[in-house]
Amino acid sequence: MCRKNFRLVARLDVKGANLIKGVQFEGLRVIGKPNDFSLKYYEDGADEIFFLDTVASLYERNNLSSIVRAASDDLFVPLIVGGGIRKLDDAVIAFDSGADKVALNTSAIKNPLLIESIAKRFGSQAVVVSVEAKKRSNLSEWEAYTDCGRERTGRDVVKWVSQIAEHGAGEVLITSVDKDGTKSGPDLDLIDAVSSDIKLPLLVGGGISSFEDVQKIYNFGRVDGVVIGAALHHGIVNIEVLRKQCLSQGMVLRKR
Amino acid sequence: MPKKRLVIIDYGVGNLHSVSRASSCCGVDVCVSNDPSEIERADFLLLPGVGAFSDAVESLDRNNVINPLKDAITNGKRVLGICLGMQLLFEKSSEFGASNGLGVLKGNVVPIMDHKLENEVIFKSPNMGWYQVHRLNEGAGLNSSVIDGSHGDFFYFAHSFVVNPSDEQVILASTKAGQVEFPSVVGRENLLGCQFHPEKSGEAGLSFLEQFFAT
Repeated sequence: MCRKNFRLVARLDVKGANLIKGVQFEGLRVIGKPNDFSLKYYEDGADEIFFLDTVASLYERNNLSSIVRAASDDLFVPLIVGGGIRKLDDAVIAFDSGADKVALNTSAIKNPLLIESIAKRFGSQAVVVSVEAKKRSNLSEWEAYTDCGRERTGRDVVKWVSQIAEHGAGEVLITSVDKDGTKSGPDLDLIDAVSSDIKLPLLVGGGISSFEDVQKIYNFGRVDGVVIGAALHHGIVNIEVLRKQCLSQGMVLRKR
Repeated sequence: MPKKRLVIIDYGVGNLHSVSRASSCCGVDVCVSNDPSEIERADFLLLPGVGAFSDAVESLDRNNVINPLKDAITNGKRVLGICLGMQLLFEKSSEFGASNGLGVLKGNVVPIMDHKLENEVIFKSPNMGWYQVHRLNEGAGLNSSVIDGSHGDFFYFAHSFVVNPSDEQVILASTKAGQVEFPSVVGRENLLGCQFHPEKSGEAGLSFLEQFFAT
């Protein structure tokens, strides 16, 4: 099968001026300066960089803008910006500070018309719908969460994902809440369930911490890339090394 | 030696920061403008890559940029069109109903899924990701060094539409994403267009821009 190229995306959770990381979105620890880490990941060859504002209050908004602006000065790869984008103007501010794509989670579920309005103005390739998925106990089902794994929506993830394409988004990003920050491997059942029918480009994340994790996800055949956070920040995975391992195993990725 | 001057045309949409910044890194003075006198005295013009075709055409029209642009092109001004900017060089696009581009290159803009599909069960659109560019034609003069330099490199693509030039000689390079092949670089004389975003393509992209600004 002649497949499309797989992407390695670095995710940085930002709170105020800091890069932070939690486990299952809780117990947030400060790791360092976001721009130092994003520069390293760019130099190591990240295909895209995702800045997620975990607080997304009005006060913190200025910090993320300046972080993104500084990143776009030096990092010549696509930047995805998410967290607290509630209206078209928030997206405009994100693009003006240097974002190439905005990631909508809470607002996408509560107000899908926002997806369409941003896509109409900036193009569908500029809109990513981000879905946080938490497994329902004793069932092969996942519930969509918002606000960095804090709020339940009652919505079924697989069903919601199948509706996203109609709203004009260009891409879907799924994160496993259960696995996020754990570095214990991805939720493969989740990835299998959402990728089997999906017509949009799909990025997945949550718990990815080894080449083997990435290879398993790649082998599903319908996922377009992985999003890695904690494993990168803690030095467990290095993007340059990961890319070489993937290429040596015959996976189809960008060669630098 | 004074720096050369780049004017980036402004359709009023999206992130021009990255392409301005990438261009400055290549050593040119950058100005974002629709002013006809700026367009006329620029050494290079850039049609950027973000937004929708019909909105961009409307914006160019509203700002009275269409004629100054066409004049500059006829007079041999060196022009680079990126993604949407490349598509605008052509005649017509079917995005959001039919819309007329600048028409300085003959051919249309069509959805990528209509372009060429062989046995691919599902082709995901938009086409997002890093793909290799393969040289097809030499390209006369100005464009040959740019295309030589980027042959085999990987660049970042994010698009749902592709160009379908009437004259195949205009296709300087093609790219294959999954099973779909499409023109990734077009050019003729003073015009150069790329479907990818050089300002988002790391070192390969900066190199492409440097080569363009050296011509």
